[in-house]
Amino acid sequence: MSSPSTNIEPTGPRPHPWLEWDRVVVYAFLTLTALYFLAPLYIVIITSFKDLDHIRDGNIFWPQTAYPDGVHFYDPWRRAWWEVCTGLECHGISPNFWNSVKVTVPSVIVSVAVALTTGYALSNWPFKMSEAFFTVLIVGSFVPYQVMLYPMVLLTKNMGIYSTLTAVIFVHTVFGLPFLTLLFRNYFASLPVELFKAARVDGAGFWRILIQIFVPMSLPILTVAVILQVTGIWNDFLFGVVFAGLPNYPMTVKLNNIFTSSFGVKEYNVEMAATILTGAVPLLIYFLSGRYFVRGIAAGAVKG
Amino acid sequence: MGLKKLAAGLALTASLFAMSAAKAADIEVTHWWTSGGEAAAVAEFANAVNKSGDKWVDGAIAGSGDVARPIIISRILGGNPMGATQLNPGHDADELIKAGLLTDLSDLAKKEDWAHILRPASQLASCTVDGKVYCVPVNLHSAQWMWTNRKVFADAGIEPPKNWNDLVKAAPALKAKGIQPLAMAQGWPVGLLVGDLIVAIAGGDNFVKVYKDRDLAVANGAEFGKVFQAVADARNMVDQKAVTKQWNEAVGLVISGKAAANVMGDWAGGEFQVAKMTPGKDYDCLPGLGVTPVLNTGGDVFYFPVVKDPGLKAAQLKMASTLVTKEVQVAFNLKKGSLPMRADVDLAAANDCMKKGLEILDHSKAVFPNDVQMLDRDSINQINDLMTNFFSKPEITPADAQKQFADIIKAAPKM
Amino acid sequence: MTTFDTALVGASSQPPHFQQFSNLVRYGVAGLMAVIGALALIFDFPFAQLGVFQPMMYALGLVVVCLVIDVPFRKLNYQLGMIGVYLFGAAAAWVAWYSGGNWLSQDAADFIWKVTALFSFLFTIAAGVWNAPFKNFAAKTAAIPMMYIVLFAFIGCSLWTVLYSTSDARIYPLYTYVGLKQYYRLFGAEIWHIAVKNVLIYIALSTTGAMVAGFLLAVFMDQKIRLEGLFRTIYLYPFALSFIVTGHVWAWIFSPEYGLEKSVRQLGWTTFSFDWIANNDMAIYCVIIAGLWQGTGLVMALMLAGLRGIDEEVWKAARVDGIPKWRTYISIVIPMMRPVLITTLVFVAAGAFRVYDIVVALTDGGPGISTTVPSQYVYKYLFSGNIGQGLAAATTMLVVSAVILIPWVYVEFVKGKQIR
Repeated sequence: MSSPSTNIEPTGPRPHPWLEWDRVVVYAFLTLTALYFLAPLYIVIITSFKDLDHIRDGNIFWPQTAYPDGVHFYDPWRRAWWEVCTGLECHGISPNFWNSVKVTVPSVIVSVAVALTTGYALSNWPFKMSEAFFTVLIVGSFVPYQVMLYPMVLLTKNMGIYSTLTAVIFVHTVFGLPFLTLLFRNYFASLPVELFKAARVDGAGFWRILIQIFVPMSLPILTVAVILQVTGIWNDFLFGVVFAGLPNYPMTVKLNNIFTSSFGVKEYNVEMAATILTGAVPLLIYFLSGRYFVRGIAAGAVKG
Repeated sequence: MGLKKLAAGLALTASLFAMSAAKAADIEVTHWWTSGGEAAAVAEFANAVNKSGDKWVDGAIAGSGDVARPIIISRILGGNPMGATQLNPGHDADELIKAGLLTDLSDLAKKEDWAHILRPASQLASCTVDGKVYCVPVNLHSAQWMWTNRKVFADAGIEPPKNWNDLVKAAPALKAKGIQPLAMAQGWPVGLLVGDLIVAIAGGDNFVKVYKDRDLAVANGAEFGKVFQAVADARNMVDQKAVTKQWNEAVGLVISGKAAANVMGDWAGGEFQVAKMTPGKDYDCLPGLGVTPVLNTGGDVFYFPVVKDPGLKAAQLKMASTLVTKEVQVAFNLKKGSLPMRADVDLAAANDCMKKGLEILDHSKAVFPNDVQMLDRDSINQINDLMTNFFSKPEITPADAQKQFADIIKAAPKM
Repeated sequence: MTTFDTALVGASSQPPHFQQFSNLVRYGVAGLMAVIGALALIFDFPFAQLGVFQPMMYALGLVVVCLVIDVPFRKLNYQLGMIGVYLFGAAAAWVAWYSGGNWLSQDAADFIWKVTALFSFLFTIAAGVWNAPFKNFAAKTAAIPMMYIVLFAFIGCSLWTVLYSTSDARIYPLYTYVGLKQYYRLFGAEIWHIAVKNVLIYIALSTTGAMVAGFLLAVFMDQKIRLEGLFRTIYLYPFALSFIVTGHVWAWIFSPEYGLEKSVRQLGWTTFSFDWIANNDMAIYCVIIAGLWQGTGLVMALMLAGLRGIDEEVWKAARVDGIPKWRTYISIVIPMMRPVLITTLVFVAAGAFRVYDIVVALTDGGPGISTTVPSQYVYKYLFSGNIGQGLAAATTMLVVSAVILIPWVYVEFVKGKQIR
């Protein structure tokens, strides 16, 4: 097995010169599709800087350039972050940003740690029935969450953690495990087996080999797993609604609340600002780590 | 340090915690009052609870009862309940009560004589299971109201409608002027409209016959046939492009004059009030859709889940008592647009709509139970789904819808 | 790697048939107890009736049964170890029970003793199945969370769902057997038919759409273009967003009152009409457009990785033979990429099957009930008054996905080269 080499860099001869007609077709196609992909982002961003009059009368394609006295372009953002209300609670989406952080950080650490260890155990220390467990795990990752939703509620209830942070962390660990285990298992399986054997001969045990040899070597796949989990957990809605409990509602849930509650006038600009704020963290992670991100989903999916 | 000393220290700390807990408690309250008028009203409750020494921690759930109810119920089932929660009077909490998850308020109810100070009796009866009181009713809501914007009609040169039939007649003229005759929200508001039309057209008696006694002959009969025809008419009055997602957005269309009328419960009055409009001058409210002045006795109640913390327990009882005091009842209901539970309060400040409601309430013949008090939630959900589907698809005939409706009534479990 | 597993620590000196028999008994008892343990952990059954004796019976039964059945057939060091484990389990159970309500919450104490008891049961199974629980002890311990999750979260919860879908449970999960009543109702409900139809349309169009568009994009991206990184970033960024975000963004664009329709009319094309979102028959296509916007980039990235994995020699050979580029793609490259294509297809389709968030945010099932999807139906009933009905829908989803997935997983992961 070769390493998960998802060769992204182009190979072969240098690019052609510009202005051959087939090149023009290629670039025209790519640019047009790129515009299609960018348009929603553009529309949402300019909408979030408009005032309500402009939203009602203006065009969604053009930004607002002039503002009446006392109206600032940043007003919707301020309202979205600090002021927008649900019921009596008028602190905007900022408390939920911190809730999302509180949910995401431990969930990522726990789920990645468990999956790393499991993947390592499955690839290097197989035992009877380990393949059977693994098969169920993989099947489990494709089964709709709704199937296990209600019993999971009962399970967390009997653990005494329902509608707490612990419950969300637990649920994210459970449902993150299959894919992450697969990722780590395949990665460890691709490492040269001599490495492991040598360590065994030297008398190193399970944990020592894991911590001193495999964890340092798994840094690339670890990065991928962390990125996947951070974006996945940050973007989660269903588990947040069901398991987190009101005081811990993550940003996505609050965002949906903002859209479904309004005091008289619907503030579309504030809604759009809240939308961008909710999407900002995963987007930022994606832009900063794009290559690892692509490599990760590619490695996870192409390799199975 | 000896083990005993440590244990003593621990015990002391624990008792200190217990003492401080008994003094004042944070009481998390879940509800789905998130529109402008509703939030203003619930603020009155929060103030009253805060004044009593405890702290109201607001757990508003946006959306509607359909969104909030699952969250509230699963939270109680999940063993980590809130301190208090809003629900509707009816059968939603029956199984929670059977499972022993909700606090028995009988002693408090006896002490404060709720049976006599709160009216109508049907509300407390909804809270009573096997002779024990489990919730405190805080207001009376009725769903049978039509709201019209006078200015819209004046501008169009049409006499403001006195009832549903007038509106149906005025619809073409309004449409010609580019105004939606009827504003509509998707989901349960459609079910509400149909319920109102049943009462207005088939009559309150027939409504109870079908919903409570499960009289299939009536449900399949000609009277109900007219109702479904009326729903089909309403379907044509609504601009399907402008169907909103939330009820208060539809009310907002009437307030802003984009739509002429909306059918919604009396809680819509709170929205008009927030918009500083006066009934009789800026808008009209027509109970029973103006056809027959009748009201049902929906409303809101508060349940208090069983908790372990003695401090919180005390706070729950205190809160239950606070919610039905005279001042709180008046302050809350004036803002909410609902009728207070107590007859012995001064409602001089009430607007004309509320006064109309109070008048009907005094003629108790015109008052009948809410659908939630007669049917289980599952059947109501099915009816709402059916009506929403019927309403948005012109190809479904009234006869089809009526047949499906009767099937749901037939299959509904006995309450 | 199995060489590490071969040596048995506690090989018995008993005759083989006797050992086989004792193994049988051991598996049987351990399995039974594990089932009871699982039931107890999830549903408080059947020990809730026993009250305070609950953990006591458990611990006592555990020690006695395990000592009698298991230990006498083993070597001394093994016996001591096992006794230790069982005593530990029993002791932890007792401690947890006594402390319940004092320095631990009752729930936490309950949970601890049940888990400890279960741990001991699992150990018994381990002893039965592997004959050597102490061999590679650390590795097996490390795999315990995974086993718990597989046994309880995936298998246990699924079985519970299937079981309770034959019940009349409404708000509180009490089991009253009603046979297939919930299924009759489910398959008779118009809203379920709508939901199934929607999800079929969604799966069909969003997978083919994403596959075709993603493959095309990947092919164009593979023409050794400049700014490849930039283009890739643009195509893939929606994938980083939450479905909730995507749904609300597109709801804004589709809105006839504020979005595309109004704006294009404003630009002068006054008869332009784009009101799919308010149209019963078209709204589901709005969901598909939004879903494609989010998902196509991923398919493109996977396809591109697949294309890059194809040997340059293939291209050279095709060129030498004078095969045009488009034909090379269709008749050589695509067949070569079959594994990637299938994997991608399964991933996209499985995601489409459980579509939920994006519908909630974009249409919330509307207009009317025309964009309801099965997951929404499940959620709606699970928590508002008819658990049995919600679970029947969930079971249907489970059966459908299992029928499709298990053969694929078996071929792809178990028999295939991915598992060594």
